[in-house]
Amino acid sequence: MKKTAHLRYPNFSGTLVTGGGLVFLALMDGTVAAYDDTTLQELWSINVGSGFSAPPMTFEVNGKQYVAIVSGPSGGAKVKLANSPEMRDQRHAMVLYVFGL
Amino acid sequence: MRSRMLHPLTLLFVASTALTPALAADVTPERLLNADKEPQNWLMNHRTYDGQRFSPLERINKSNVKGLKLAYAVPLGGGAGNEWNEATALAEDGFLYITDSWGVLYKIDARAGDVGRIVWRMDPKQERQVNNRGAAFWGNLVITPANGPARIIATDKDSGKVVWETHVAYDQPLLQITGAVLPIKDKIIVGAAGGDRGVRDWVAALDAPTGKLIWLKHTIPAPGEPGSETWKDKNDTWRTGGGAVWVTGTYDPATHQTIWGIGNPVPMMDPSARPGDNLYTNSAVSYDPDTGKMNWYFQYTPNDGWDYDEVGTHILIDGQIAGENRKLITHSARNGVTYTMERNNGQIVAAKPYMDNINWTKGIDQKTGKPIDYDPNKDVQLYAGAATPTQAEPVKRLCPNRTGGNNYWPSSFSPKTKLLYIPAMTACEDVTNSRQLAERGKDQGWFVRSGGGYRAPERYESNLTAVDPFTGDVKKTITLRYPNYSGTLATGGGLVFIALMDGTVAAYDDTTLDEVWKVNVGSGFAAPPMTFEVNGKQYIAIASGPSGAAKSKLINTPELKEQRNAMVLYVFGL
Repeated sequence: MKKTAHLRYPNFSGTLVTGGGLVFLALMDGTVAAYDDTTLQELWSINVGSGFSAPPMTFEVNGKQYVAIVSGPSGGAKVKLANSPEMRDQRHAMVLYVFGL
Repeated sequence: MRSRMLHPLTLLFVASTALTPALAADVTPERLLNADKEPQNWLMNHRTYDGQRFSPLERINKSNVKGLKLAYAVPLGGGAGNEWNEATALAEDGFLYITDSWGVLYKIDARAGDVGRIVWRMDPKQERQVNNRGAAFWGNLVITPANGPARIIATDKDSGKVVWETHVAYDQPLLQITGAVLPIKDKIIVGAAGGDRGVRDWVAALDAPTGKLIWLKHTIPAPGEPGSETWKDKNDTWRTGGGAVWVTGTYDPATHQTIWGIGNPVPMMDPSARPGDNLYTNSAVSYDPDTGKMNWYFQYTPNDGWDYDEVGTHILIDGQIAGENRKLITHSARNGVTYTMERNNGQIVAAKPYMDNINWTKGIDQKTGKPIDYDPNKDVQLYAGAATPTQAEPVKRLCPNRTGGNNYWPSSFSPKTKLLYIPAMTACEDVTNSRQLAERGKDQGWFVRSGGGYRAPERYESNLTAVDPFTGDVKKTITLRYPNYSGTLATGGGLVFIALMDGTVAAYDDTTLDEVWKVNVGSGFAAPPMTFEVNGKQYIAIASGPSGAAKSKLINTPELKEQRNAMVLYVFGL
């Protein structure tokens, strides 16, 4: 094991590693984040409220790169918040979010 | 080292408490009267009693709005598909309060700036979704409408527990409450809706601490009451005549009057079923909030057959006409005209079209404010004739369409530019006063409405129009490709924010109406934008999720045929 970073919410989404030296992931509290692929330092994050249980991906069009991920956690994902009282009233929506520079 | 770390944190705390002296305090009647002095907050539906929907916040402004981006999002609802939202979020000292179509009230912690955690939800257990336009503060209560059955509910701001719940349908099970209530001193002013379903609507006051009914005044008079002579039919249509009240009124503390817009008469499309002017439908009505006594009224479209419901805000504005200081009310009417009147008595000062294709009337009499083709001796009005279906010609083209023009999606007024920013729908419609024709014509695109029906031969788009309300003159107008079912928000930063049915949220320069920023979140919008500040940062918040009525306006917009929608509160920041 080279490195590990502990995150406060379940990752039911996965990881995406890119040539930009980034690892993208999403968490059940609605966070989408990017980490340095060597230090595992958090470099960027945003919170869209809804949990995630789908993996992130990336693509390019017209010379612009995007990171896409769809929100909306399954029942199986939501049960993992049983002991996260601050998320008790969390609501969810199924939305494809696309991020770009 | 440790104390060095603590030092800036302590300073931050002091700075934020100094900005918000009433942190977690009651929202007293005094705070509501002075809501404009809490620029960081949005303490009532239209932000201030004057209904201007102007925020003096200017950290987000013309020079930096290009950098505006999503700060965070908060999904609402989540219990079913096709959820929608028409509510303006309230903001108080770092917390947001918003309702949804289930009548659920949410308290959201917005202090962090990068996440909006839901603190609690109050769920009134509606079986069906009903339009719900938001919450109101009174003391430590957050007061909201709920339906199925129609109720007003007061929730403790801290705990989220219900303090009182008052059932208000009385003897009319079809009645609904959809507008946010208006707290004035120790009372909560409530408007009743559901008028198109055939009820007799009203404005009422509840005792704020207990929810007990204090007064209730029907918007349609019973036989013998003043105005009842304007319901001349022999079929008791007054009993089911509508007159819904579903957008929050305004309040003038100096004259202690509250002004509400009243909805259309029912049956909607057949004025011959209810000969007479049908008071007080399609009117502005000024009430004494203590007693419900009517101070004055002004009726826009008497004996209406086009659903020209005038519930939209009656905005209080101060300014000069011919060098003289005036206290006025302005209203961008559903019928396509901007009306400006004296605040004391509703006397018309200016009444000019803000749309260029009005065909139901040939114009407005500048003295009386009545359509020039209104005939007081007629029981059933013909107006210009061009848009009035008759027995001989049961189908006519109507401009603006039944939905407006402007509607519940609010105009805003900037005291900086002295301009009124009107979001207006542009398409005309075919209308009929024959229900039979509409029923038989479903295959040809006809939809049935009470007393007749309509069809939509044109693509619905929208105008953003800046009007000088002191003269009624249109200063600038731009056409947008999708309906604005959301409204406008004017800010001290010189910006006008709007949202469209294609999922666009955009900002415009308040003088040139140049588009200066936009983002598309996919879902349509039927709720107005608002703005607030916390910890020295300004945010723009708006809930997505269009109602069925909003979605029906995309019938001639084929590129959005597959659009899906989601109810999410989006919060944007620099």
